[in-house]
Amino acid sequence: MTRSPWEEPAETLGRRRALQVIGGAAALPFLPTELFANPHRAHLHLHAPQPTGGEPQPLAVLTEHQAQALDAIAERILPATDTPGAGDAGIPAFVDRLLEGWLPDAARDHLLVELDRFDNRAREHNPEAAGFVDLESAAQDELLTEAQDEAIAQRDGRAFSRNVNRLHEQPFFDLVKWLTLFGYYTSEAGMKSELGYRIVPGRWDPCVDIEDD
Amino acid sequence: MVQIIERKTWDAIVIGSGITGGWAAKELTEKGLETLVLEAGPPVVPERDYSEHTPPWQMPYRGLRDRKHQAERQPVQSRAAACDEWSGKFFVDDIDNPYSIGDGGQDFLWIRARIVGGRSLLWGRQSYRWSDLDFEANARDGYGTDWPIRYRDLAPWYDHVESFVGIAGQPENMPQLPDGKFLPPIAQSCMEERVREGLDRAFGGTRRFTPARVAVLTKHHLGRRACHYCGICRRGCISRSYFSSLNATLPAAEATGRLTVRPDSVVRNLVYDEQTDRVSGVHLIDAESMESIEVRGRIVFLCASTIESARILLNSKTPRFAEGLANSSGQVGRNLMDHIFQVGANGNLDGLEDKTTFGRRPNSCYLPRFVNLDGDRAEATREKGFLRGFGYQCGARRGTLWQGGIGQPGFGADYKASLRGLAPWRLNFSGFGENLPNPDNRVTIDPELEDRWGIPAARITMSYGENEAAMRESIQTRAAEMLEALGARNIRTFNRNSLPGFAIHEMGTARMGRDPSTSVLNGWCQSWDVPNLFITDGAAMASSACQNPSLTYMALTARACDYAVRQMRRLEL
Repeated sequence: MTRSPWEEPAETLGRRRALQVIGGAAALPFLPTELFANPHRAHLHLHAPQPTGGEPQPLAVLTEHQAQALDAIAERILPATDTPGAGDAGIPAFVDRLLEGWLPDAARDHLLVELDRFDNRAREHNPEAAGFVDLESAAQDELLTEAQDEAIAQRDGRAFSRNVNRLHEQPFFDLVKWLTLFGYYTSEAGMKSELGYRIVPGRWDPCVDIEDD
Repeated sequence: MVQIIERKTWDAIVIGSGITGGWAAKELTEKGLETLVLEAGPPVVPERDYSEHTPPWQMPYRGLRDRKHQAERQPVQSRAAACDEWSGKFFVDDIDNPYSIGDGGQDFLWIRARIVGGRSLLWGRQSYRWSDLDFEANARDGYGTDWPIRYRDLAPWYDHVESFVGIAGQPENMPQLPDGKFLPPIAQSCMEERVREGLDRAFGGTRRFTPARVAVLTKHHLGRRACHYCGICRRGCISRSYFSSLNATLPAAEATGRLTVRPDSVVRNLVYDEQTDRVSGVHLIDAESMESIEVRGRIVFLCASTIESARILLNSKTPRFAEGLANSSGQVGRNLMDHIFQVGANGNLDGLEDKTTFGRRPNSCYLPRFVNLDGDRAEATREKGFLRGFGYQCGARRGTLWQGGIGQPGFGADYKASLRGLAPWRLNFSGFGENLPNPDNRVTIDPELEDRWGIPAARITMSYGENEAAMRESIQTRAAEMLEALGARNIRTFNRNSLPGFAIHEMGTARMGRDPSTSVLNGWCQSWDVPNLFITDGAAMASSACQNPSLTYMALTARACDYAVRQMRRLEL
């Protein structure tokens, strides 16, 4: 499949350049502010979460140690293969944002307590390990398998619930797996490499061969 | 108490800048009128506020929304799918903009955008003409009052608005869904082509699976660019490929040099002059300074949206109109309608496993009404359990496997590989059904509740009835029947009993009619009582049909503007 100029990733072009590519520079102006009867006012502002620009932010809730543990867990759940793994998806930063401003208190406390508890179990495998990150991958997988078995037993046939008011009842393994999946498949690494996502596809093709794409 | 009276008398004042306010502004300014558009909310600055190309990884919650803010300030608005982490800022703050539910009514979801451009920034863009099956419906079965117009009255105005809007669509030559002036359609996926052929075969061409007709450009059109298939129109569109007031009508009005937009101007009531028997102006509250201001105009177009327009009229009491302005019929606020939806069926289709689509299209497919038709099709299409009909928004697509990943045990490289790829094709039919006009479904004014600007709030009393319940059953049965005919597997019907308001197609609170004693507006959307007052948003509708209504609102608005200006020139206004 040939690549059209549309398919250049817009975010690397910058907003103005993207505008030129897409709009050929808008032929008509949008509304000039002089149009408004009250042009010099600071109008009531729209409430909006501000885009982060994808830049790394300082951690607000997680300790550096916890963040490293989360990163390592995420990488074992979705490891790098022919595409990047969840370790390249900024999972700790994403989880930190949720801990700071999104999760209910009970779920936040649950996640932090269980993360530490899980991390401490690394010592059962290797008394010299300070945490999960210090284990060999085989041992990391063993710990995760144990946690998964416990989660299956704890759920007893019930499905994982994404309901925000039930998150604190979810087993640690399921919770961290959900955060990893969601975080990875909404990350730049995951969306572009694993899902073939393009911000500006530029065209609609109603029938393409999967092999060729 | 009005504190400031602005001296200037505008030729026209338009209340609201959404899909109909934008059209009124364009038509009136192009016909030479100095026009003031009042908008309750702030301006939207496309370069700053559009976010359609901001990917999830650049959003703080990756698309999981600003949950705590929404729980606190937008408990109603956040029910809408479009009120997401990107577009939530375009929806109102529910605490500042309260309303109440009347005794005996179901919960009503009033989804609103108080911004320059209104809900035209957020709409689903589906654009269908109505037909005489719809305009004759009230006369045929006796619910509501007869429309004062027929398709032939509106057809040239559909042409007029479609030519400017740009509608991608495919002609089908079906009397119940008249063809329009279309741009090239957005092609159906290869599986959808099969579905179309399969349904034509199974139902003899009576159930036509067509590309959804949408107000999105498939080629360059009047200075606006063709769609680039980024897929999330409601976040804005920097190439202006979908129609909104902000992308199209307001810039056209601005180009005349006769447009002024006054944002942050919350209308409290209309000002009525007993001497001249006319509306003389509008009383607004400045949202920022809280000053009370009166602006004056020769004619007023009320385009504030169905419920808000009723609220403004009911809050405009005068000695002559003790029950609200333009309400000698007592019909202002009554006959509130919406569409039933969130009901239908879906199933998996085998085949074409090695095919998928590229790009994110701004539409899907549509299956026009095929029950309770008129003329020589009446007998063959009659449904026993209910009056009127429904259509389906539908489509066949392949989901990604990772979304079901949490339900699959395991982790590691093999697990990751198992989530790669696409789910089988799934065909979904989602019904949109007509809601009978009922005078008891109505908007009144809450005796105590006020909004942030001290304006008495709306009270909404609305319930769906037996006709809607019976129609929901049929919507599921008919959808399942089509899936079976196509050999679908794993067929599931669904009925989430959508609350009134949730289709965001509310209409009917100031209906057009033939008789001043039973209707609010004449056939030109002109108030019977107050001749220089026009209401051209959803309030004017005398019935709801089952098609998405915005295109009809636009055509009615353009037609009303033409009439109003002709009347002004004849000095009859």
